[in-house]
Parts: sequence; structure tokens; C-alpha cells
Amino acid sequence: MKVRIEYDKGTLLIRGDARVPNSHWDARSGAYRALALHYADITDYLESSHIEYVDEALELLPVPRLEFRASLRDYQTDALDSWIQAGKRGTVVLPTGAGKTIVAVGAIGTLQTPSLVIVPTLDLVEQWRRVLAAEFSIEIGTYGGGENVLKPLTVSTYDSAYLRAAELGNRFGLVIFDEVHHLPAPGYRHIAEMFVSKARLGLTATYERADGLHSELQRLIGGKVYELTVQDLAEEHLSGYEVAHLFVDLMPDEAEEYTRMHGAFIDYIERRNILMRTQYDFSRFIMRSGWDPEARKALLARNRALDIALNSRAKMEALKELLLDHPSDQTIIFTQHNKLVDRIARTFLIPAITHTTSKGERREILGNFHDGVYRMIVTSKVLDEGVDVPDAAQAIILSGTGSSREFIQRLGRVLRKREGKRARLTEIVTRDTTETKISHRRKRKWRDAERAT
Amino acid sequence: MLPSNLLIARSRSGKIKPVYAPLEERYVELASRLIETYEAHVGKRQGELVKHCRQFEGDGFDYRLVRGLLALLNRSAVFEPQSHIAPQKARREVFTEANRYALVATNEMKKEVMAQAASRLGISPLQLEESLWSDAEDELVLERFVPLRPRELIQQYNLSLTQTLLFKAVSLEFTAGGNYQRIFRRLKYLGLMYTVEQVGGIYRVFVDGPVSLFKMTERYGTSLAKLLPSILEAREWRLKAHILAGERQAPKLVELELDSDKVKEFLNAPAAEETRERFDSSVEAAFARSFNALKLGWILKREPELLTAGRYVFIPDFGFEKNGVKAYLEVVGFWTDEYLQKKLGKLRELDVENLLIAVDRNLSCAKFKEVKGLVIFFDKKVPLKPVVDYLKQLEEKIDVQQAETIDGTRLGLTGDVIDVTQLADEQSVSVGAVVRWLQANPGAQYRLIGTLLISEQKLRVIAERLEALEGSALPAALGAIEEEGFSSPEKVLEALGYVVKWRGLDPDSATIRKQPGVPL
Repeated sequence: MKVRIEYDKGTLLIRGDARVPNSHWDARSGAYRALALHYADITDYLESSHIEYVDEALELLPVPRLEFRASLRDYQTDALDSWIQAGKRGTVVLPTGAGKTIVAVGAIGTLQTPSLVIVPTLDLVEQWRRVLAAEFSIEIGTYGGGENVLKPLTVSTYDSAYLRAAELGNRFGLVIFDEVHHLPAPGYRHIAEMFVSKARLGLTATYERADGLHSELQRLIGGKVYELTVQDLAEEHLSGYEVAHLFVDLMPDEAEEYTRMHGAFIDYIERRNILMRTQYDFSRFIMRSGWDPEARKALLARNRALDIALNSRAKMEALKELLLDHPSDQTIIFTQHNKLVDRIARTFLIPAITHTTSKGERREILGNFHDGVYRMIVTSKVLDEGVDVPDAAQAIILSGTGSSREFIQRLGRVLRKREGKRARLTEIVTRDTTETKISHRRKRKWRDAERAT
Repeated sequence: MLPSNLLIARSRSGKIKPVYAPLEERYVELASRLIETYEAHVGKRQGELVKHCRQFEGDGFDYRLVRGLLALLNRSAVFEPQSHIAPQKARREVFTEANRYALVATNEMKKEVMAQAASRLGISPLQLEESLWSDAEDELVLERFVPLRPRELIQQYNLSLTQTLLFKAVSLEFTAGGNYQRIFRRLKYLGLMYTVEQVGGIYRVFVDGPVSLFKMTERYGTSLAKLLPSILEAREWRLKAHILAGERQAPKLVELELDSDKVKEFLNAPAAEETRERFDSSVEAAFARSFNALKLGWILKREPELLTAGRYVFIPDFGFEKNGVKAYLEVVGFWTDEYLQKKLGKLRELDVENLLIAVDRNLSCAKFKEVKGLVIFFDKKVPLKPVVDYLKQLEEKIDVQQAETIDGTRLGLTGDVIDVTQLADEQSVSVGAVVRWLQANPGAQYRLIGTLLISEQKLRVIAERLEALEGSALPAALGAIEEEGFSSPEKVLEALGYVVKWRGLDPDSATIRKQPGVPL
């Protein structure tokens, strides 16, 4: 019996008398089964062993000739070449604003195969849809946000791709993972495992993950094949910029409560001899708060203290000054919590984008910001990633986490090059609170890159 | 299903148990107070409602329990913005107006902006103020709330809690006393896979997904959670799931075991679906009704049991059972070609005796000829006659077979009257088989009347008494036979060669007369 490869819900069924690499006998189906990920290995093995086989795994939509308009910059061409050299697998690391999308467009145009772009947010779905439609002049399919349309070029959220991996996994010759640092998360990595696509391209500005899981990317799509930092491209391809800090003091009543709450937390962990050095220690403490009422009280006190530091009224004053100092700069204000977004929006009547903002209104606000109808936007984490906000000259970080990635992404929002532009990022930080440490921590990677150039 | 941070479960030495809310007074009280709070907040803002409900968290209840209950109550609640104009339109106008300033830094400027925007929108500044953020979560108004009973809320909560735990399940195994068809239909719909193992008449079903073969994965957890209610609908069930627990750095596999006997009280399947028998189609319902009306002594069961067909599981629509003999009926209604092909494949692998297949005549049925068992064709309605004929034949066949196994020397024939039913029980064969054997081996001392074996001696006694009553009224004759210890005297009368001459409908005026030529 001739060997036959079929696709079955994210896996390959191999029928016939051949044991292929990476497969297991599945008594449930009476056939060998392998993860779709191993499609390339398995067909290579059958070819090189001269075993005849019928390949029914792929079910590709017919594609029209894919011609695109953009022309690639030299470093984009280099990135694309490196990826092709690496066997059309691997990740390209480029700073935000350096045109990762165009590298992807180049890859699609080169391969002329049905392609799926997977992105973290609905905004990015919309953004990629627009870019791909403009570049290739064809209708683009989308998955996510309730609309599911399959086309030769399709954009999906990670969530939809995860949920639908079983049915979409054999429909594309190329899969592009935008913001690929999301992929190694235990759930999402199934996407890469359940797709048969031989060509895989990862894109990100920040390859490394704090938890070290980026090591998984090698197996899932291939490792880093090309990398440039913000500093490599600043001035020539990206806007020149400066990073500044503005320190504020807590208001007296806030300072009093901060000391009390922070004290209660410190008191608890000292009494219990709890070490709090890593993220792991902290997540154990959170788990403990699930059953230990004292731990829960300590956790609530810690959260309240941090809340005071991150959302101090003094920051509102500092923000006002800053916004009046540069009255004509297109400005994005970033916060950690939605509560502060609401307060700023209501106090200064500034358009706000949070996760509760409808898709339509988000699009409208970004459009108006782009056209200069609005000068400012205030947002929590929604615009951290990916969404192109052209011509913002100023970013203000009112509060945030200690994540390097978040910082680099927020910086990236203002780096699009424009004649005569000098971008500025200002952090407003509350003095003498844990926030100063957080602020220091998030700039770690960026500082390293500064030193390197 | 609840957000995972609201899950309450205890794990100890490799086992995990959801911490169910018991149906005790304290908890029922909490549930009913929360329900009342929702009812009292109809027409009020969500922010107020949430604030009020938070008070219950400190009340000696786990905050996760309270929030879990609230999450469930929100499913029965509708929150809507209350606004003079569309909030998004209001904001567009206000932000555009505000953009004329470098920054709206003072209250005066803010008033100015609001006034300008309001006049352009044709509403008052106050109305604009009220509309501007009316779609923010806290500002939404509770429009409608459909109250549920407190105990129901607690049971829903416990079900959700179990499902939330199953989100992290890598596999599930269960046994269930029925409801198979729905369980397996759901299982397939959810993209899961199964294997079935039969041990001592009990089917144990192992469920996971295609990728589970390669690695332990929570990918199918959500689907397994969605499968749960269909298992709970079964009369009795037992399940075991492997759950991923612990932190990412130190993952652990723990076992969840649930048993309907122990948790039925907490974990009720949705009541509406539990009570009545369900039929896939009206065709099947109609068949069940008319078959039962015939009272043939066959017990009709809906989805009686799992039959394994090669790698598959097959659950026939109906099972018939009488004296330990089983037969099955599968109704193939109007389906697609693909479905029919699959069904055929399954049936072909099926090694089951006594399978009847009823096929809608509108389908192309030629292929069914290959299948073991009798195929009945139908339009609109499954006909009773072929089914009944088949069952009768089956009974006869079984009788013949069993009659051959009867050892005459072991039939204890003593006394004047012997109940054949009892003989059949003693020999573990059907009544029909004993009757057949007795007919084939007529003994000198006994005569078979109905299902009774009566001694010739006894019969002579009755015959003599009847002779004396020749020509007299029917009730007297029947009374005489009853006095000899028979509960259905008409049969004995007939067996002894008497006929009843009726005059009108009144038994008192009917008389008995001996037929000539009948011995005794």
C-alpha cells in the first residue's frame, strides 16, 4: 500500500507501510500520526528514502499573481535574503518603525503562495489588512473580532489562530508571525505545531523573553536570522530621539498612605521570611494569597501602595506642564492602568483608547490623530504593540511595568522618521517609591544597546 | 465557566477537588441576597451594583466564591448605556472642540468646550455631560435581570467551577449510564477523540485530542469542559481527569475524580434537559409511542448501550429486550451522503447480532444490503409490522434453540398444577422454549393448558364436576374450576372441550356445552 499523508485537525496521519520520523502509532485511528509541524521533515525523509507517497496534507487556495508596490530598503532586502538563505524559516528582528511589514510583503511576493499573517491584536489585524490590500490590490481575509473570512492572504489574531489551528493548519504555504515573541507562550505555540506550512517568518523588535522561552522559537519557526536595533537605525532610517525623566513627589496624604500600605506588605513578608527576588517568588506569593487571608491582605496593601505611586495626583500636574511645554507635538500618553486613562481623558478631554474602546471608535480616534484633528491620545497597554501611529513626536510614560519590551515598544511609537523631527520620550516617575526601581528596570535592555553603539 | 483566577480547588497528594459551595443555609442565604441585590438595582448604574456586592466578600466568604456567583448573575443581566445621544458622537464633538486649545487645562476652558460642543449637537451642556461617558462599564445601567432560584445559582456555580478546573485538563475518562448518543455527538462536534474499553459490561471512554498523542496539552481543556454537561445528564456517571497544576516552572499533573453518587446534590445538570426522554427526530418518537402501545412484553429502550464497532463506538437508537434476548434498531433518517457513507463503514465493522436497520426510502439504499441484519425501508414513518414480525421470529428462533438444550429428566414434574413460567426460570430458558419442549415430548400424566401444566388426574376431577353442571349457567362452571385452584378458568374450560353458548351479553344467561369428540 502506497504511503498516504493526510491532514487531520492539526496533525498528520500517515497511512501505509512506512514509519516516518517524529510520528507515533495512533491506535485510535489505525495509522501513524505526527504533529503538522513536522510536515517538512516527513516529506524530506520520504523523498530522500525514495518512498513513493501520496500527499494530501495541503489544501491551498489558488492564488493570483501577487505583485506588490513597495520597494524594499537595503536593510529590508538584507533581512529577506538572510531569511531565504536560512531555508525560509526564522525570525527577523527590527525596531518598531523600521518597516517589518515590508519584509513580510517581500516574503509573500517572493514565495507566491497563500499566506497567513498572525498578529496579537485586532488593531493589528486591521492594520495588516489595510497594508496587504494596498500592496497587493486583492481582497484580504481576516480572522478575529467576530469576522472570519478565508482568502489566499489572510490576517488573524493569535487567539483565533489558536482556536482554529485545526481547520486552518493546512491552508497556507507561508505563515508570518508578527510580534513573534508571543508565540512561545504554552498555548500559542500550538499554532506553529498545528500548521503544515514549510515557510515560516517571525517578526519582532524584541526577540528575548524575560522567561527565556524564546529558545522554543528555534524549533517552532527557526531562530534569529537577522537583527538590527533602534540605535543601528536612528538618524538614518529612524527619527533621532531623546529620553528624559521627570520626578515628582507624592502629595502629603498620598505619601502617608503609601508608607502605611507599603509598610504592611514589607512587614508581612519579613514576618513570614518570604524572599521576593524573582517573578517566580512573586507568583508563589500570589498563589499563597488564594488560601492565606493574611497573604491576601498583604497583597492588597502592596497593590494599593503601587496604585498610589503609579497614579499620584502629582503626576497629573507634571503632565499638564509637559503638555503645555510642547503645545504642537503630536503626543501619546501611556499609563499602566485604565483608571488613570479615564481620569486624564475626563480631566483634559483627551481621546482615550483602552481595551473597552470599540473597534470603530479606535479606528476613528487613530484616524483623527493621524490627520491632526486630535493632537493627543491617552492609552493604557493597547497601543504598546505594533499599531502604527505615524508622526507622533512625543511619548509620555505616566506609568508602566518593569518590562524592557514595553519600554522599547513605547519608544518605537515615536521613531518614524520625518524631515526635521526630533522625537522625545519622557517618563514621569514618583520619587522614593518602588516605581523608581520599576523605571530603572524597564530601561535595562535599551541602555545595553545604547552602550553598544 | 469562570475566569481562572476565581477557581477554588484544593489539591493534596496528587488529587484535586473543586471546593463546591454546599447547599447549606448560609450559602443559600448568600445566593439569595446577591440575587435580591441585582433585582433591587434594576435601573441603577453598574458601578453602584458592583460596589454593593463587594460588601459580601468580607462576610466570611471566599472573595472568589462571591465574584464567581456575580459572574454567573451577570449572565442573566442586561446592562445598557443611558444616553441622550450616542456617546461616541458626543466624544467626537468634544475632543474636536478641545483640540482647538493646546490643552484644556482649567475648568473654565472645559466649560467653554462643553458648551460649544453641546450647542453644535443641539443638546444642553448637562445632557452632554451625562452622555459623554455613559458607555463606560461603571456607568452602564442594569436594564433587565432575570432572577433565578438561589439553589439553582449555587448548582450553576458548582458546575462552572468544575468546568473551570477542566480548562486545564489534558485528558478525561468517564463511564456513564446512558445518554451516549448526545455525549458522543457533542464529543465529535468539539473535535475531540476517544477510545473505548469494555470491562465487565461497563464502557470506559477515554477522551483527548489529536495532538495529545505527542505531548501533554491543555489545548483540549476548554472542549473537555464543554463536554461535561452532556456527561452529567446521564443517570449515573463517573469521571476522572488529569489536570495540569502548579506553576509553569514546576508543573504537576493532578487527578480530578468525580462520582455522581457523591456530588449529584451539588452538581445538577440543567434541569430542563434532564427529565423527558429525547428523540432525535419525530420519526423515532412516533415509533416508540406506537411500539409501546402494543404491549408485546419487549422492553423498549432508547439508546440502550454502546456497541463497539472496530475503532468506533456505535449507539443504536433503540434496544429491545425480553427474557435476556436483545435486539437493536437503528433508524437512518434523512441524511447527507457523507454521513451515510460513514454510517455504512461503521455498520460494516459492527459484529452485532439482531440488528434491524430502518432506512428512509428517499435515500439510495442499495449499499445497505451488505450489512448484517434486516433492512426495513420506510416513508415518513417506521412501520411497526416488520419490526414486530422480526421480533416474533426472533423469539421463535430462540425458543427452538433453547428447547434443544432442555434436559427432560431435570424438569421436576410433580404436583397437580405446574407453572411453566417457573420451569422456564429454573432452566434459564424462555417460556416458549419449555412450551415447545412439552409439545414435542407430551407426557402421559400432564396436559399443557396455556402456561400451566395440569395433571390428568386433576383434569378428571374438574371434568366430573363439569359433567354434573352440563347445560347449566357459565358462572357456576367457572366457579367450580376456580374452586380447584385456577385463576383463569376460561382456558381450562376450553381445553376440556366445552363451548359457551351466549344468549345476549349477560354471562348469567350463558350456558356451557361439551363439544363432541373431545376426550374427557
